[in-house]
Amino acid sequence: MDSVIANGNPVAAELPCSLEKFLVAQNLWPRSVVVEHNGEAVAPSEFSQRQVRAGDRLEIVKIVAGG
Amino acid sequence: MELNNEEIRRYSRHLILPEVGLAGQKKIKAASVLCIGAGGLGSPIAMYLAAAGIGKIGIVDFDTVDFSNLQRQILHTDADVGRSKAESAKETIAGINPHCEVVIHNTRISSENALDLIRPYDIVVDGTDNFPTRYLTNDACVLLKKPNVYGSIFRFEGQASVFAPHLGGPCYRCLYPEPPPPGMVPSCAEGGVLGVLPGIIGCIQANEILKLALGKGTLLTGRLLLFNALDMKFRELKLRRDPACPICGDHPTIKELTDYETFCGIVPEPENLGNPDEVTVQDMKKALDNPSLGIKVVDVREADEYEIAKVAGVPLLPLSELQSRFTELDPNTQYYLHCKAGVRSMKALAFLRQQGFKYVKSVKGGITAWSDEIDRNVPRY
Repeated sequence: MDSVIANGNPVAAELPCSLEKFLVAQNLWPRSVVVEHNGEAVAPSEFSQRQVRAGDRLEIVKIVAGG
Repeated sequence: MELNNEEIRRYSRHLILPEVGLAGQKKIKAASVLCIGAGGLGSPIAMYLAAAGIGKIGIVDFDTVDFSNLQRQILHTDADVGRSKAESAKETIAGINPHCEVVIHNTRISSENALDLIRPYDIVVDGTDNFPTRYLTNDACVLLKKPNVYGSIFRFEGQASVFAPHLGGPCYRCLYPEPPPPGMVPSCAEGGVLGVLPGIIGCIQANEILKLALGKGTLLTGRLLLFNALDMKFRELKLRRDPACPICGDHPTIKELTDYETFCGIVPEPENLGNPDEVTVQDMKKALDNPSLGIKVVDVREADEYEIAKVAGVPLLPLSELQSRFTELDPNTQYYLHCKAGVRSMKALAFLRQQGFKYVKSVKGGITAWSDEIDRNVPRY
């Protein structure tokens, strides 16, 4: 299986696929994460169109609410 | 806006910074900041802003000081336990800098009062601890065009940014258009937080506020600063305004404040009509006192929590191991599951139902309710 580098670690996934699908496959709630794709900011409304390919770099941050 | 001789002595280390100087210190004194929450983040924020000479600080908090707050909420002392957080904060700030005007709002911020609370202030700082208040704060700030200095924390990780679509950059909803389903993201009360973490993130927020007041430096707008206290590493993500954002996008659909509890999926429980999947700690006591009922009680917290506090006679099967160990349980036996407060035991219940367990209930309020209502010798943590 192909992989991407997510937060510095290789993660296997069925690629290419949309960012939305990738996040769901990783058990992430797509409306509650911030994603940088190959160094670019991605708005949540673009997640379903944005294609993720083997070797891409993703930075993914989950929402937290503590204060 | 003038500074008297005592203030000039007090702020001398600012005054000799060319980036601040007398003119800058006057800007700091002229600035007003509304601090939403006087807890972990609100503590360093309010204390440093007061020390730095912010002229007016508003504190919104309806809560009272609890013993479990003292590990990180340095606005409050041991003697303040049980007092209003807003009043305790005011006293601490007055002790740091009597030139700082403190306005306390001993109330819960809501859709009804948020705009009126925020309107008189120049800058808002989000030090809240829950999703509904974060979305409410964001929306009110966007509608009023006030910069919202954001910070949030969990366990060892923190996030900070400045949301100010009117100055360029995104708002909170551009990052997180919808809250996660209730129970998916644990709170600090469920998951814990390292005591100094809000100190670090809160100081970053205070730093951004001083820059906003001074009009100097590069703000965190359009960037999400992330901090990991275990690795002692900072990283940064680029952010962008979402043209489809429902409040600051090109065609906003949110034009006024709504009901944020409902938006976050928090449904008020009807009176006397509890969740049929839940039992009370009194039911749990009956089950433990009467083995002939055939009801087994299982603790689904983690091993280190079990060490801190446990109910005698209740075995441990941590939620994190349930997937691999559920076969140790009998699908035809009746189980009452408990955790710390009732969230994880509901997750365990949902999992066991999927595996064909028919007679599983979750103990409402968990061991915390047990400690409050049945046995005070069981420590609350």
